[in-house]
Amino acid sequence: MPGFGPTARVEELKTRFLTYKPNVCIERARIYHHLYFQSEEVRDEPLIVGRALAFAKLLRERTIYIEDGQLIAGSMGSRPRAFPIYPESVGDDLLDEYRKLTTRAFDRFEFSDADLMELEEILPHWHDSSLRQILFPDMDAEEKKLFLMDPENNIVKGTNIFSLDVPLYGPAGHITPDYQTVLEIGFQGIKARAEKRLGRARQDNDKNAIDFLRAAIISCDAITDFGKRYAELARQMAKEETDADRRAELLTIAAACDQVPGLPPRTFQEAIQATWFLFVGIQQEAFQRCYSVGRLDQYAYPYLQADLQGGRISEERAQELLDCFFLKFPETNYINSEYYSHIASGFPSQQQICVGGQTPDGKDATNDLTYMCIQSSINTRLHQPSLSVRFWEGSPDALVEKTCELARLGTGHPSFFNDRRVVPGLVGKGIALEDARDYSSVGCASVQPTRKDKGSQNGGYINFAAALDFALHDGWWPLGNRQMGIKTGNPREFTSFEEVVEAFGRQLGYLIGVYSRASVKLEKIHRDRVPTPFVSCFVQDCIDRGLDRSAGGAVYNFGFSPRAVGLADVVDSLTAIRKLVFEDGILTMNGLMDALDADFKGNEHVRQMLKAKAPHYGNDDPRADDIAQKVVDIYVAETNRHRSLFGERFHPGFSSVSANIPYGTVISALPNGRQAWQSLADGCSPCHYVGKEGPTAAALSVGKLDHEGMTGGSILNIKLMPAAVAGETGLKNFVSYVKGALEAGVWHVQFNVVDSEVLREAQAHAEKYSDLLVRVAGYSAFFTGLSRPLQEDVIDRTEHCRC
Amino acid sequence: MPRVNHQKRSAIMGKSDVQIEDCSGLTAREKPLFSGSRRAMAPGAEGVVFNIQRFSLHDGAGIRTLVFLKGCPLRCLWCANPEGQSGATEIRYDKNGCIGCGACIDSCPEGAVSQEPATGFTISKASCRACGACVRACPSGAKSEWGETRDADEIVDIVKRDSLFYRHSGGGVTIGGGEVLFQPAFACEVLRKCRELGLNTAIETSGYGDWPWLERIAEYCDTIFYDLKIVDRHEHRRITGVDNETILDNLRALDEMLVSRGTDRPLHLIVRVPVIPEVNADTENMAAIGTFIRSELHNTSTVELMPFHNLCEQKYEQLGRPYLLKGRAGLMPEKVEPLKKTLTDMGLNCTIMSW
Repeated sequence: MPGFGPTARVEELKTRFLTYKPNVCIERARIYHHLYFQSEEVRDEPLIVGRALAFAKLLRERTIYIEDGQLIAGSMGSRPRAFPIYPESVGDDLLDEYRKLTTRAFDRFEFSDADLMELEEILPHWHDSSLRQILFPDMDAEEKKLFLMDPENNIVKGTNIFSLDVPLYGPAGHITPDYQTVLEIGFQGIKARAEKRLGRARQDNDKNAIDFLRAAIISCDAITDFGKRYAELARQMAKEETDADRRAELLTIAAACDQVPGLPPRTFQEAIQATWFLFVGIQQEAFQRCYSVGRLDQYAYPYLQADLQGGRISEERAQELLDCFFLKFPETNYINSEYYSHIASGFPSQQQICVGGQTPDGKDATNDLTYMCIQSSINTRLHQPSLSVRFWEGSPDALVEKTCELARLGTGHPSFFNDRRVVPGLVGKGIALEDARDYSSVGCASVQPTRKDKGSQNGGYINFAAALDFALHDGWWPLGNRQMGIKTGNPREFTSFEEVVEAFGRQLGYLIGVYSRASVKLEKIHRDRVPTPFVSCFVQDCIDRGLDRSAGGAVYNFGFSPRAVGLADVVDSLTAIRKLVFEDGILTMNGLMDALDADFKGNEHVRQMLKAKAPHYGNDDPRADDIAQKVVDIYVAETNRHRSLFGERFHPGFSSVSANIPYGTVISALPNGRQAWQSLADGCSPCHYVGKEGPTAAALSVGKLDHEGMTGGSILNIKLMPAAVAGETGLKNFVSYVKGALEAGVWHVQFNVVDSEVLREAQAHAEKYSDLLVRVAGYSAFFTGLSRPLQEDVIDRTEHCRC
Repeated sequence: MPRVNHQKRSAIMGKSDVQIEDCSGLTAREKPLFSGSRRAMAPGAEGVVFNIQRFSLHDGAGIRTLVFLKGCPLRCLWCANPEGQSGATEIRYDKNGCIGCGACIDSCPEGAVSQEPATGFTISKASCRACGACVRACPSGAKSEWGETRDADEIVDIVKRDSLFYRHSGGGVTIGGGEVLFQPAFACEVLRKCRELGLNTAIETSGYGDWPWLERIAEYCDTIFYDLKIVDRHEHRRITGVDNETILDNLRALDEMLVSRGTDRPLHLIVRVPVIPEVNADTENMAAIGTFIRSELHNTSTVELMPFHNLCEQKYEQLGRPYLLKGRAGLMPEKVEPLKKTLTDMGLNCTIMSW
């Protein structure tokens, strides 16, 4: 299928998008507040039914719009790029942040004074709803000490040693629900199932199931009616429309919205319209990031195929529709605290569309829609959606080529996922083979069995380097000036390398243990306080089980999972200790510790030796890579000792987003020569500036790790000079590199294809580079919108081009 | 054959032949051809390598690993790898990476290192024996060795690490330098072993060496990048330090080999012309090159023009050697278009390579 470029409509929608500023929409807070504090409607209802009623009221009352020229209807808020407020899980946690939204250093929002005043009225009433406020009294002293900078007085400011992070704000992200079934039977079909199941629950007098199913039924009607509101709006607009073509388009939109998502779509347009309504719906229900559309090229393809065969649509028009669908994603938006904006700068919502790969029965899944999705990313070139392309042994060469064509545009899209590591990894976690083959990517580098997973897998970050910092200080935390870890002995008395590794392993094990305890507590809070009946309607088998996904209704119930930050720093540090202290005898543990404790002041020669005279991870050098394998094995083994609320194992991973910057600010000097409080290495990538053997070596090093154990996913960032991949030969070499990296066994790889000089130029002249996208972590963002440290981080990532 | 304007060049360079040879520390006349070379040794022997570069994309098909052999009989003015000229290990001093600790001064048994205001911890070429004591003493890696003696098996072990990338890309190994023919037995052995592994093999050569060795090496090559800098014999001698008679003879012989090699695993011969402004970047020289290829080679028609760049300046500084083209701007590839046209008009298949 030939790739059709962007039409004038698509260009115009994109140009217009670039003029929109992120902004706040308080309607959601207002409507929820009214329902819970100014009406009797939910007072006597069970909590979960109340949540469904609130969802229904929101969809019924909120402002809706259809953008000029758009072919897809539906939005998160009352304006493009509007962020709704979620008082029922965030409470007034972010009130301070909202006050700064218009003036803070980066990730700024437009926000009127009147709206802020209204929020100032509303949110204090919701103080006790904040998940953080609920969790805090549940935490024991040890958890508080490790999570909070000032555990006695401030429950907001974290240590950056580790966090629960994303799930502290809302319940349901990192989820790929069952779009396919909704397309097959419509939400009214789901409702019929729920009603049938409710009958049984009533017979059994199963109170929990009755409450959940009532909530589910309310939600089914709510989303159906939401579509109908858009149908009405489109008809209204059509009446007033003078342009005949646009009038026809609006009437088509109206017909689509009358049909979906209540009833099954009849056309490709209706299929993606339905998908978009569901995607908006789950984000209306609950605050979270990293909602995923999943395998669009699989479940929407039959509709496209039928339209094409029936002559109802041309290939070019289908591409334009899909482009319009893609252009809806960047309209959705999130507010992060300024703190979290450091972790994930650049307005990422990390909404994934995952294409390619294999079918549940192990055949190649690539189809025309796979290529069209890649083409849409080429045509739209915006930060969202995050496109992921899956590869397995049977992927056609044409797919790799098309994907590389997209990647070399330098937008940071897509992520390349490697079925060779992902599928066995998921099977190893107890997931059925056909479900493992049917995985979708979520968030950055995470994966989950599509349609059947409870979701919410990113459970925050563990500072991997902290475990080493503690091991080198007998559990003492130099920055916080307090005992944080456990006692593992005075490092100055260590007489073998094994003692150092053991101390590190015990500190890491301790951190993971505390993390697991706290994360299970938070899972309970999600279950008890913020159930999500709407999305549970289309997560298998919540309806059959009569249970919300937060209560264990899904087929797979993995818990939150930790992301470790700073792999390469730990590996290079341990490698340097082994080589310089225990092999070459150039340094003693005493001399090393003196230098570290002085942050290398007066010991620059020691710092230089640590950097120059030891091998580095990421260079395909077994003298460092064996230690990388070892510490990953420790990480996997330690997380495997713990279980989530529903008795499942965790999905540990190394996808730091941009947490490597704030997490570096709490770590003192390390034996890889990194000075105190500096950034850590990102994902599972090598440290910056040490990748002297280039990207083939980096992939080979990373491929040696136990990715099957680290099913949380690990990000490899590779930066290439545009010249290296230019032209026909460049594309061919790029394709070969990707195939080689996948065969080498990386879990994931993504590229920044941009000259450092261009990035420097963009720093100096931001106004000229407003549409320059770069890959940050598992997401792309506009470079000029990133914080300065993160800009530097992106520039520093080892650049590869040998000419 | 068009005459070259010697007067013009000398005025531009402002340097005479003598100074060119002075800057190298080793003249071509001192270095015999290889029948008598100490590197003409038995297969399996060791060689001196100054760099191994993975993920190289511009010296042959696909993704390649480049192996740089140390030592070259030529002293080209513009040499981009000056650290490859001398056959012996040299000490590199990277002033930017130096933390000024002075450990190198104390460590040197010859007293060859001194601290100079302009150039930092400078090594006296006259007294340095390249023993490596300063390198071992240097904490930051500012002093390091260029040139390491390595076994052919060791080199092959490194080369084969990227095998799966070669397999996907049709890439392999390219041996350059320095000059491949400076260590022919070693080059031959590395190539033979790579070939046994099924890797695609290539060399880059000036062609200045003994034909029997080149012939043997070519047996193990899929591609040969053969430098042809200037056709005029005197001018060649003046800017490279050696006569081009051997080079042209060898090129003719290689060209004939293309036929005898057959189609089973064909040998590709690509002529490379470094394009150096005010040295050989004139249409007369390019026409002379074109004429030579058209009239004297019967099986070769591919030419790659390599525009001059100045990315190597720092390396001269690190070697403590003057660089006669210092400060010259690199040649933008589009400026080379007229020269490309000269060659394409003669029916040659010509590409301008990026830096």
